Amino acid sequence: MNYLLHILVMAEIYIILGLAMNLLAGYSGLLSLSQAAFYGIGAYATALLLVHTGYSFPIVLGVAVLINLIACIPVIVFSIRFRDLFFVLATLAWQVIIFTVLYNWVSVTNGPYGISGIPKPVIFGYPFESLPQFTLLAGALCALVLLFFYGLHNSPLSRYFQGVRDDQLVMLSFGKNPGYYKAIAISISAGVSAIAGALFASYYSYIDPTSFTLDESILILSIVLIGGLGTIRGSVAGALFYVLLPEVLRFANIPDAFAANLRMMIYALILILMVLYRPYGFFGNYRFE
Amino acid sequence: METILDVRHISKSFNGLKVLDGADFSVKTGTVAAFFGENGSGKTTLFHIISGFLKADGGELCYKNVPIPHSTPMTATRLGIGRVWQNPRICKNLSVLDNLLLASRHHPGESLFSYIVRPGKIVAYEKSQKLKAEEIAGHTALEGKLAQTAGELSFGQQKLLSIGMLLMNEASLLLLDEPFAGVNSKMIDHISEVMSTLKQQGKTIMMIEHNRSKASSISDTQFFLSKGQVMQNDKGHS
Repeated sequence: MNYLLHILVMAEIYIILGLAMNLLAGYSGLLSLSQAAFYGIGAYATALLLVHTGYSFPIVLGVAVLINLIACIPVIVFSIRFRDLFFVLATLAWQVIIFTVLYNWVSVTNGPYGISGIPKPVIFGYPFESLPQFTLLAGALCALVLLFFYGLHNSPLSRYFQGVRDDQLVMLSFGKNPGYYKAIAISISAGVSAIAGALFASYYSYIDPTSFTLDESILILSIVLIGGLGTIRGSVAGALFYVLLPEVLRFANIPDAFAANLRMMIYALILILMVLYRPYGFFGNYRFE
Repeated sequence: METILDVRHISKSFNGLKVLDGADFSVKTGTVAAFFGENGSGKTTLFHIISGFLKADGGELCYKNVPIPHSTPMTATRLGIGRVWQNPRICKNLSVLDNLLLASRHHPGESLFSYIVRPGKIVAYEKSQKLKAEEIAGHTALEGKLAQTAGELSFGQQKLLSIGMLLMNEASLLLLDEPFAGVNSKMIDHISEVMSTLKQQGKTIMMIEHNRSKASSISDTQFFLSKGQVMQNDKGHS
């Protein structure tokens, strides 16, 4: 039972990350490689606040979101100043900078040793200590995020994001400022990633910088590419695929020493096959060009 | 008849090459003005300047007798100047309806703040704009295609959609860059009909066109661009 609940928690965290990434790449056409940085900032903010201040989880979560909103300002500037590949490179640079800070700012982040003893969430005096309780909390937050993105998808705002993605000249021609919508999309995406980071930190009770590398950013992006850009079910399907794949391999009796590398190889192979034969992903309505 | 656009001594050079050299003309409200000229004579540059996508080196633009100091695409749009590009610029992955709604003017849903302060207004405005989009789709021969993905429309229909988007944006002065280029004769007739209807509704149309006979038949004024200058030729006085 615990094994299934653990998979469920991981799926919930990656669904949140996938949805946040989808708003950028799927709706707004912003191929960002710094998503793990925001995931990491959210996790570290949560960890530090829970360990050192003892504030309740909702307050910590709010502060983590706020910190990510500030941390995403450079990416907003990149999105306005740079286009296409240059934006990708700028976000890659931001990812490397954040990772370097997490790794080297030892006095705050404890560097490569990470932060341990992160308390489990307590909301209005109710602790979410056991695995079923935590699964419930992660599920509730995931459901709220899903509901939020569902509302966003059906709102006029979604149309403006897609306008930015399809043709910025169209937006300008009709008096809409593409930079404004990019800023909104990046802010929402960074804020939502903080929720995933907060869940991750309080779930494992230990974090270190290796969970928030460029590899992780690429994985989050590939979740959306495999699931399909521009749809909510695509992000959900991509996240489930990513979380369930290693579990399927586990039943194939592959030695642990090879399992992790094999997982990455299979994932990479599937990504190549998807690009070649199913460029819209499982459920996408937009082909990334 | 009032003047909607006054272009005074507009000049523009690219790398020392003078494309527009003191271009002077005016366009009356509710008329169709056609612009002819050889390739490279500065027609598109002139449209770029009027729609705010290029800055003139010198001269002045007056819209409804008010000078436009520093025109940008945003300011031009706010004034009511709309532009249809030679290759129609639409959001090809969105539906026809969403393209029309995207162009909607002063939609409260444009601002994030409105979602917090007055979400009800967004819903009500969206509903009214959907009705307006249906009406405009009727005027632009796109009825029954609102749910279709815009990228699946024919080239001519995409041009009609671009014109429809200008109408959603409540543009008073429509700049059409080669509206008849690349479309069949049936679609040319369609686009001409739409332009005539718009003229009857009081819209002003400026168009660049190489199909001189068709453009002359529906235009009230013709302008010829040559050596950076604009020469007017009122209909019937050629």
